[in-house]
Amino acid sequence: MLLENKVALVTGSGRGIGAAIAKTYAENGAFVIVNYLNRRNSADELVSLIKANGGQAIAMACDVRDDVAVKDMIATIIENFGTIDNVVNNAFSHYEFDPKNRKLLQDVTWRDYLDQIDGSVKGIVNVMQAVLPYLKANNSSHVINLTSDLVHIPTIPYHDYIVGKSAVIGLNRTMASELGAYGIYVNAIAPGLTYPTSSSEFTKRDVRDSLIAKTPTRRLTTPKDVSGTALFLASELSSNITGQCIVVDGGLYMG
Amino acid sequence: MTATSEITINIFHLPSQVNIAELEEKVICKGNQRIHMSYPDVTTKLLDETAENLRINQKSYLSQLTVEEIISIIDKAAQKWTNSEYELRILAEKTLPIITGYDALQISLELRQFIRLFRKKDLRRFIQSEVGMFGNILDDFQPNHSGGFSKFYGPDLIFQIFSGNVPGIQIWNLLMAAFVKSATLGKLSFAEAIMPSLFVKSLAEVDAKFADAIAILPWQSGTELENKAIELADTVIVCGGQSAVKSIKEKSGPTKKVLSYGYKIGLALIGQEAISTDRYTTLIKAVAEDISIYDQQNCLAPQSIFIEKGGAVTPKEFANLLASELQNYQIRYPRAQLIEAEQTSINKMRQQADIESISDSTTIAMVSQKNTDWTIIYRDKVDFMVSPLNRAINIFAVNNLNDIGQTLEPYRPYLQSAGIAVAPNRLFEMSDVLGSLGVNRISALGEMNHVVPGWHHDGGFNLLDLVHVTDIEASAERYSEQFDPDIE
Repeated sequence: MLLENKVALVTGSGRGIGAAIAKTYAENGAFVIVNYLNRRNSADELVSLIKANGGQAIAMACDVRDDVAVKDMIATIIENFGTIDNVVNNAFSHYEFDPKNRKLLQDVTWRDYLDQIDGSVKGIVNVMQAVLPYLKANNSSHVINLTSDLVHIPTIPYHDYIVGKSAVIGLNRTMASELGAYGIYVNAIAPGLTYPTSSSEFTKRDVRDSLIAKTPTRRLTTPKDVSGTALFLASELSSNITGQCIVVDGGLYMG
Repeated sequence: MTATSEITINIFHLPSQVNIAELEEKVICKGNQRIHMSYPDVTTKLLDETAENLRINQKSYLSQLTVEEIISIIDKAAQKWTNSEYELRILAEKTLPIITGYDALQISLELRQFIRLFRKKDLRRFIQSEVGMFGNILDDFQPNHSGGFSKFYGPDLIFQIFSGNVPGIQIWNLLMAAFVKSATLGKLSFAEAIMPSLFVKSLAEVDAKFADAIAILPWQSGTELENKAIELADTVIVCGGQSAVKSIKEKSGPTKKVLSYGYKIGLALIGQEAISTDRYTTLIKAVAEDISIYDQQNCLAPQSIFIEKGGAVTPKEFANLLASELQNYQIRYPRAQLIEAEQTSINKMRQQADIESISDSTTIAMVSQKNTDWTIIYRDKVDFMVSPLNRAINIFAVNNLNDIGQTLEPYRPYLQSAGIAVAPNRLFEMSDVLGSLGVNRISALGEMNHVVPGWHHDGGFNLLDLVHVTDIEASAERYSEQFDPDIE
């Protein structure tokens, strides 16, 4: 198994892409910490499902935007499991992906931008600062940051969200640059519209169909597509790859 | 299936006057490669005959050469080795990785650098720094400061026992003997007899009569042959481990002159000012090189590293970074395969650290997984430890590099090289502390395995330790003037 005996933290994994990654990691031998913000039930359900399939997981509530709470969570993980090998920074601030009712540039407030930067960037910064001493001590650690193909191809210009996710790409590169010498590999995944997830519920069929029409594989991305890439990037299969952003969107964007 | 490649190589050299009826053979196999190493059956009779001829050749030819002529011969041989097409270099590059187990690329890179120590300009610098007067004092009587004249004489015949840990290192001692115009009877180690044999062959290609004053032969240690060779020689030079050196000294008795190059310990010191955000990555690379080149078998390599707290990365982070870099080195230049005893001593070092970490959680073992490729034992205290070598290193986090003197004291007889990364204002202060503790060589990090021409091997004088001086005192010179029949 690719992640045998590895301890993996997946932030925001109560549902959607995060949950798919947590499930795939557990199937491949990792002990998974399912971090969630509010939806305790869905996190607990995921943990039960993983356990029922013979995997190992535990749910931990924590707002990754809160640095004190993050430190507590990491301390608990270390106390119980001794180390962390893989971190998936998947959590982000709630966002309404609604093509029909999105805010136009003149309506987006600075607060909106800050919310997205807090969710996307501050969450990563808090988690990374808390886990770094442990990642540095491992021979090989993997960090995966979730961004979006909208950064490259803003088919729907969600200004605030895309600004936050663009910053993730910059941070992904600077972290890879500094941490490579420690054997810490840092990569990003930029999924296209991932369906079905709760984030995509307002992206109606007309928009979905128009995206599908432009997508070489003629389909949208599924959470499982993303979790496969996340597994690759967390395992030795991706050795010596760092600072990269892999776009998983059926070829809609070709970088 | 690929065909087996067979290479036959002579691992000895004798004066041309000594004839050998038949050769014995030792075969080393690795994969589909077989190396046949040929050498004569060494007997006391052969040693007698060889020594007799060496003495004749030394007297009739080597002792008549000037130092400048000797430099020129060695330079021509070394220049051959700077050519990648030179057949003996190709042979060395093919066979040494198989015989020694060191990575082929690493051997090639190191040999190229090492052989350049023997070019004319480097040798002239060496001679000048060691004896002055461009070595003329080895050729003829030269005016001295007390009004008379002096000349240096080397022994007629030196028995040398070479070590086998690092390819080519034997050439250094072999040539030191040649500079003082001494013939060499050398005992090679089977572990690495190739490089000295090939280099002497190059010398013979340049000047056969010069090479006729050199004999090198491999035989198993601990036989009566050593006693015989000691008896035949005027001076003995022994390189090797503690026990080898001790045994030769005992065999040589109190009157025979013995120079020894034995077990030595290297260390590295890193000041907090050197661990800045823009410098630390290059430091890591340098330290990893010092540890990885020839797997610390060179007595020049570090066994413990002192890292001062207060730099941009903590000593522990430095150790983490070094762990990654040693893993990178393993991918680029894999460590030699170890015999079981060597593996065991590394595992012992790891176990000891694990036990220690139960009572002291600041002791951390950072190790390659599932093998002994590399090992770092990190300790947050001032101490000093030797290493089982083969890419195993001790790291000590210290508040101030000035605090380490005391811990080095017990190792005084063994301290040799120190790699040091500190600001200029601390270099001399730290060097003085280290010098007073017996450290005799201070280099940059990353250069610990590379000596410079003119280095004082183990803190001694390479040539001066070999010679005796004959002085013509001023009175004798003036006195002789009285007996000049042409002066009235």
